[in-house]
This record gives sequence, structure tokens and C-alpha cells, in this order.
Amino acid sequence: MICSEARQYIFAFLDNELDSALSVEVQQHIEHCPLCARECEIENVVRRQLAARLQQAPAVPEFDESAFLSQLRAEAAVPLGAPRTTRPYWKLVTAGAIAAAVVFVASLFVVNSARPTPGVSLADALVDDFQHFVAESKPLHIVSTDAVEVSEWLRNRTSLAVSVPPIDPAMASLMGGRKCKINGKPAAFVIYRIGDEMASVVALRESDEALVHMKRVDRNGHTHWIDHCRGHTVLACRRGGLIYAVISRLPEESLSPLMPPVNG
Amino acid sequence: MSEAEAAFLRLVRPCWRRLHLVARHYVRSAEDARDLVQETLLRAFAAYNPSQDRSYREGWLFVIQRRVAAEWVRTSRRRVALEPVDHDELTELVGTDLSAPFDALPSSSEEQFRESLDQRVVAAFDSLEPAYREVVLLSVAADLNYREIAEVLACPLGTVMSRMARARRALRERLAHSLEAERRRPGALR
Repeated sequence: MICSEARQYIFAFLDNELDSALSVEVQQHIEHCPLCARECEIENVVRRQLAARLQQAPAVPEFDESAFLSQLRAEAAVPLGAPRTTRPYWKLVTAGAIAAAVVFVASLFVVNSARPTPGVSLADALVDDFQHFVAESKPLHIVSTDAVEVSEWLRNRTSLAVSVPPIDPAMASLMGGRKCKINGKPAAFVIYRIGDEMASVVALRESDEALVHMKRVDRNGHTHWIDHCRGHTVLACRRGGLIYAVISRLPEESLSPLMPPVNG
Repeated sequence: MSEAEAAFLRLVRPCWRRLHLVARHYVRSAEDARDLVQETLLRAFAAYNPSQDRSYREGWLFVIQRRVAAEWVRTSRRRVALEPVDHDELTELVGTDLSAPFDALPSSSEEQFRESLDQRVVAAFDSLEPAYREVVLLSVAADLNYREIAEVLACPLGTVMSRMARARRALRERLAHSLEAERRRPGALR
């Protein structure tokens, strides 16, 4: 073997990827050729330096297996597709208590970009989602009482211009938010606690057919839509190209403060 | 814990860190890297069926990770730093004579050489064409062999071998230019 041939194989040789016969040929050449031997030395230095740098990863989290399993189980029924966040999600799952607490809490902000399937009203779909969320004690993706932080997180993760209004904590406590996809459409929701109840406020992209099954109410110059389904109230409005829907077992008057303001 | 979950954990455990290392280069932030790994593993588990008559190798997880990263190019492009290129769409990066002599690196002591490399090797790596960067990344950070890389890139083994050689050569070339530029800088130590 001559130098020009050896150079073609030198990288695969150092990666131990040559078949044995060719590897022996390259090895024998290197042993007798100081120039190619030197090139191998240099290449080894380069790849060691590169490996050291590429394998530096201070941000790699510990593999928390119990949290990971919780996540797998919680996400088993969630449609796949959207990138998920790890940090707040893992923290939440690890804490565990949050998800458990959610069961006792009132949720206000649910998001499902659900385009209702034919024959299924939006209220039905949202209540289904809400009940599923509560029954499964699904964890939130972001746990925060800060409406601005939750809004920003949901906007960044769903491409929906979600705006979570600040609420008087004496009236309702924001717990956090979660995103999901339904029929491939991005969606998100936030959860509130109101006394011993939960309320969820869902944000989904506006569509013409979304509210057709709900009762339109024009009051004080504003329009909203309302429906009742399996013991739940669903209160919806249109804001900024999105539909916001509040779902809870609480009555309408308790939920209306959770609706985003008209100028929101 | 179910048998499937236990088996899946056994598959994930040894490559958890490497999935993050690779993810960190597919995307722009550490947080997005965690998202990418999370999405990868959720999808992998959804498809995981150990009762099937098939074996699951670590490379399979990197196949899915790359697929998710490619999907993010369409859905969240701003998060992606290294765009996976379909083999079918890739005009193989040629033009390098693999038998030509290597670019000479400026002479220096071994210690100086290592120090100067340490400052430049990542910049040289980051300047590589995406297809070159990815193949080196899968080898160095994911610790995959050529056959596994071929599986991840969905291309023939020969393509991996060729691309790896060109990528390594390109890296040497960038380093040589960088070191030479430093050597010519006024006031630089000779």
C-alpha cells in the first residue's frame, strides 16, 4: 500500500471500521511510513480534543427513572407530535404532589385545538378532555402561578397567541398550564383552583364551526357562548384569533372572571 | 412496572446521556435539547413492542431522535441548529480527493498544538456543512459505529464511510486554516 491509498482509509482505520484484511494493510503501511504515522498521531489528537468538547454537557439532566415512567404513563393517551418541554414537566412529575393536588383543585384554563369531529360538539370534546385530565391526574407541563410566565411558555410551545389574564388570587389560583395536540392541531390549557373545584381554560385556534352547538349570549355589549354537558359548564369567547373556553363544574357566574378581557 | 417499561428502561439507560449530547447539537438551547430527548423517548415508547420478534438497538433511538429533529425543522425551525438532510435530497458532498495529502498544520510543540486545538476544534466543527457535522456528531457524541450511523441517516454504509472521511478531512482543513491565520497574526508567538 502507498501513502495515497492509506490516506483514503486512515479515518475508517482509526474508527476500527475496515475489514480485517484492509486494516492489516493500512496498519503495516503506517508502521513503515513516518509521514502517515505522524498524520495518524495528529488525527488522534484532533479527535480526542473534539470528543472531549462534544462530550461536555453540563446541562444533561439526571435520568430520573420514576419520573420518566410517570411521564410515559401520563403521556400514553396524548397524541404525539408536538415537541414537549422537559424542565418544568419533569419537575412536576418528580414532585408528584402537584399532579395529585390537581385532582382537588379547580382548573380554569384548558386548551384543546380540538376541531370537533362531526356530531361531537366542542363542549362535549372539552368536557371529555377535562374529565380525562382530572381522572388521570395528568401533570402540568409548566407549574407556575405567574400568568405572564405561563402565557409566554404556552406561546413559545404551541404557536398559539395565548394570553392568560391575571386573576385575583383570592378568587382563583393559577396552577400552571399544559399543551397538547388534537387532530394534529396545537392546543394548550391552564388550570385554576377555585375553592375545592378545578377549572380549566382551553385555548384553541378559531374555526367557523367550533361554536355552532353552543348557545350565543350577548350581554353588556359582549358576546360569549355557553353550554352545559355532563354536569359541567362550558363558557367560551373569541379573543385575538383564538377561542377560549372555560370548563368546570362551577356555575357560569363563577367562571366568567376567568374569561380573557375583550382588550386582552 | 410492566415488563415493557422495564425493557424500555434498559434500552434507554445506557444512551440517555448520549441522546442529550446529540440533541444539544440538533437544537439551539439546552432546554430544547431536553424537549427533543423527551419527545424522542415518548415516541419510541409508543412504538416499542418487545413482544414483537425483533431486537431493539440503541441506534433505533437515534433514528427516532433524528426524525423528530427533522420534523421540528418544519414545525419549529427556529429551535433547530442542525437540520437533518434526507439522503435522497442530498447531493453528496464531493470535491475532496481522499488520497491527497492532508493540509499541513503549523509546526508547534505537542502542548501548544493541544492548547491551540482546544480553542478551535469546536469552531471548526461548527463550521462544517450540516451533513458532515451530523456524521461526525453521531460517531463522536453518540458513539455509533458506521453501520448504526447508516441506519440513522438512512443511507448506505459506503456513503457513511465516504462522508466521514470527507468530514474529517474538512475538519482538518478548517483547523489548518485557523491555526495558520493565528500564526500569521501580528504579535503571535512563533
